[in-house]
Amino acid sequence: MRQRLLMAFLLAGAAVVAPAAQAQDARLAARVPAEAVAPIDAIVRSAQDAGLPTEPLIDRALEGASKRASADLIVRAVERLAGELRAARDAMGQRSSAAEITAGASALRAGADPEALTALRERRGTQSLLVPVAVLADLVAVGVPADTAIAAVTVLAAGFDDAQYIAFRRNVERDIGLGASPVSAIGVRLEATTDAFTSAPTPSAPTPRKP
Amino acid sequence: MRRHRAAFVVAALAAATASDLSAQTRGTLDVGASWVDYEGFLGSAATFVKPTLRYEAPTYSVGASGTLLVFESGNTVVQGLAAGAWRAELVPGVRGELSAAAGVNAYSESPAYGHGLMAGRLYAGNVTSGAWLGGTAGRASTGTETSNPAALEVGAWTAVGPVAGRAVATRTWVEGTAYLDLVGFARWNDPGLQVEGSLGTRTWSGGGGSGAYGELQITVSIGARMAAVVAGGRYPTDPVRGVLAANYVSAALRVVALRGRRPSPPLRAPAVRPARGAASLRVMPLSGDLRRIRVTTPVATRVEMTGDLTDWVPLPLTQTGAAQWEVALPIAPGVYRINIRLDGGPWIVPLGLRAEEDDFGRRIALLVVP
Repeated sequence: MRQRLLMAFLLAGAAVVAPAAQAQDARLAARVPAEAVAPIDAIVRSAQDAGLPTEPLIDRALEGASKRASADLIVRAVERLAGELRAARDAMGQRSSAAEITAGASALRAGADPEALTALRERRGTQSLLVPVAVLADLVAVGVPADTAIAAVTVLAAGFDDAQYIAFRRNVERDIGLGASPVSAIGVRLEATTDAFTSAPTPSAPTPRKP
Repeated sequence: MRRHRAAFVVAALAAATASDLSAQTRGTLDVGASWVDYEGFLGSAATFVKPTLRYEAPTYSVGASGTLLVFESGNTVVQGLAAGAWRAELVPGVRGELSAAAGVNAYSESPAYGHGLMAGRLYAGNVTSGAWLGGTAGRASTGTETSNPAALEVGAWTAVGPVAGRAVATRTWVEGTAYLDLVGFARWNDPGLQVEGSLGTRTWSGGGGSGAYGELQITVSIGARMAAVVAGGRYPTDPVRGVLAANYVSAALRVVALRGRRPSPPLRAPAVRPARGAASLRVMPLSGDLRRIRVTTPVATRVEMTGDLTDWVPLPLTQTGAAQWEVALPIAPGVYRINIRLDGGPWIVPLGLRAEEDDFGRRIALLVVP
């Protein structure tokens, strides 16, 4: 009898413990190769404990699954992203939003360094870093050397709003498309912008005009 | 200017494949109006004057053209081009061509673009079909900056019935910029009516922009020495010649001032299928976080999207117009990874978005929603 009671308690305990051993997100168990679920779940839990956004990690695992990647490749991709998210959050500050951290991780992968993200946060204060960081990554992607792009985006951080950042990026890309080298394109646009800074307290966005 | 280069290729082919044709001189003057929408500018009406002069002989050709474009604002674009080509049969069935071109392009007070280019091409084939391989190198400048553009091209032409066509792939390098243009051309000739069209895409681009483009031009003869020319479409940025991408429509009256002894021989080729895989993507706000994703593609009958926004489950878009596909989704500000698929083909990166290598050996687009 006593043995039966002990067995009953053990089974009950197992039943209570079992859900915690399952994937935290049902999408993982349903879509990701079985052998990848536990390692990914551990990464997700660790990120959650650290206050990092977890949805990008789930997304990365689902992306790998949809592309029929191997379990090992998916786990490594999620692990890498978790590291980038952590580095971005550490660089931009604990109060950064999930969107900012995700954009920061993307910029780090594009070639920006964590110090650039920290400098951007200092210059932007409480304004969102989402667009400046995305523009930074875009500039690096079109061939602007990372240090040049970082310098430009940081210089503009204090006076530009999101729309102005987007217009700045578009102008640089257009100049490059017209044959300017990435370095000279960003130099010319930056010079024009800083001239505007010195002549007017609040620079206006470059508005389209008729040719 | 791209069209001028094409004209010389056509002239070279015509002369090289018909050595008994006599020389001819042709001069035209186009006067007209257009609506031009350059990238980064507001659309504007403009008037233009465009003289063209060309002399063709069996083994060489020379030509020159100019354009004066006056916008609503009073600003002007002045373009000038001079070019020449010499060709000879190297071995039976293979012809060589050397050509040179120099041009300027000046917009208002901005520094003018200038270029000088030399090209060499080898043609193999006959009047009904063939292929060529060519290379171009030279120097381009704007203001105090100079560059050394280079290009490699491979193309083919064919002719069936009253239609002629050619397809060409050109890889261009200009300083830190490089891109690949894949373009198909078709022309249909009839006494009194000529229809020319092109459709292309710029891809494998680092700093040269990317996307689909195409133009259509219809020329209707009015008597022996006049014609009406209607054209429209989109052309891509040409960093070598300082031409900015634009959408345009134009109408002009063409006066034939000089005409040689023979008309231009019609080229003949089958219609060219549009390039596949060209699609652009835009996001438009609706209300709150609800946003409309619009994919524009002229070539698909089914469009799907997958990515962070859909938990990486393919989501079919709804066709809402000619070449236009949409879906409305709640999307919070952020950076999202997406791919699109046309007609069940491979997952691709839509034009207009930054692309990067993903962790799984493919390419992914990054959609930034501010």
